[in-house]
Amino acid sequence: MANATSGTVLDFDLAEVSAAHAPGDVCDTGSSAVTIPYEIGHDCDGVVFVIRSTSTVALKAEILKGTNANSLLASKGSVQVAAIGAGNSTPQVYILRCDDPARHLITDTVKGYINLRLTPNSGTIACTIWCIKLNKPR
Amino acid sequence: MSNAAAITVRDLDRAEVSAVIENHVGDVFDTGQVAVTVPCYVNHDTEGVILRITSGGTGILTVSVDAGDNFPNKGALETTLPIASVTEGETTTITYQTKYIRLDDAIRHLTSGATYKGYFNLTLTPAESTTLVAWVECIKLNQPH
Repeated sequence: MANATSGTVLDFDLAEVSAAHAPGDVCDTGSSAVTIPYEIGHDCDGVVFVIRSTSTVALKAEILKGTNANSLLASKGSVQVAAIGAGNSTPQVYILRCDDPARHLITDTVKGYINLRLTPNSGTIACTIWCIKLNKPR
Repeated sequence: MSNAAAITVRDLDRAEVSAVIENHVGDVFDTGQVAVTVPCYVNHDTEGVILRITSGGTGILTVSVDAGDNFPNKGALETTLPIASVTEGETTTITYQTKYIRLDDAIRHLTSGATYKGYFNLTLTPAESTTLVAWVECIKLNQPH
């Protein structure tokens, strides 16, 4: 059991279908905050994160503010989610939309990425994350 | 036990966070062994639609977004989900399969119908002699206000 150290990005073209059970990224270890980088690149129309809580511990999810100095757009403050409720008996799902990811991108690498931070509330973290990248038309 | 009569559309603005979707489901389909077609009212002011389809059945589930009649209409989009076999949950065991579908050009699937609100039809077809067990979540990506 371990926490994901880098995120899986599901690339979606127009009118496209994902693979069956895209397994998502799992965090299930420790009681401290976890930050996962998602390598997005710059060529997209937006990003949607689906976060599913699967334990008795509530958690907070944030898309962190970026440092994309090359962007003409000012970097944007973090998008913060109120606590995702405990999902032990009825797993709960939160959905975040990041429509202008360039503002959130960290550009230490050639391919820009977004940092997603998950903070459990008094207990062991347990959740699954899917990152859906909406590709631009080719 | 009954099947949803329509798909609930969850509007998502830019950089917005949705409300909690309880029980990882959305609209429930749990009755019968025949195909079910339901409308999904999205209107026209959208940047795209994401469907999250989860199957919990004992057979292969076929999912199709029907072709619309709203010019320029587009052919049906069809996919299948395998027999539910993935188990997840800490204190509750859930067995399922999930797929995501992106409908970026939803308007091409829209049916104008008798209402001003354009919609597309979603059809769920269980495998022969198996009961339909599925959940559908529809996320509409709103255009900027």
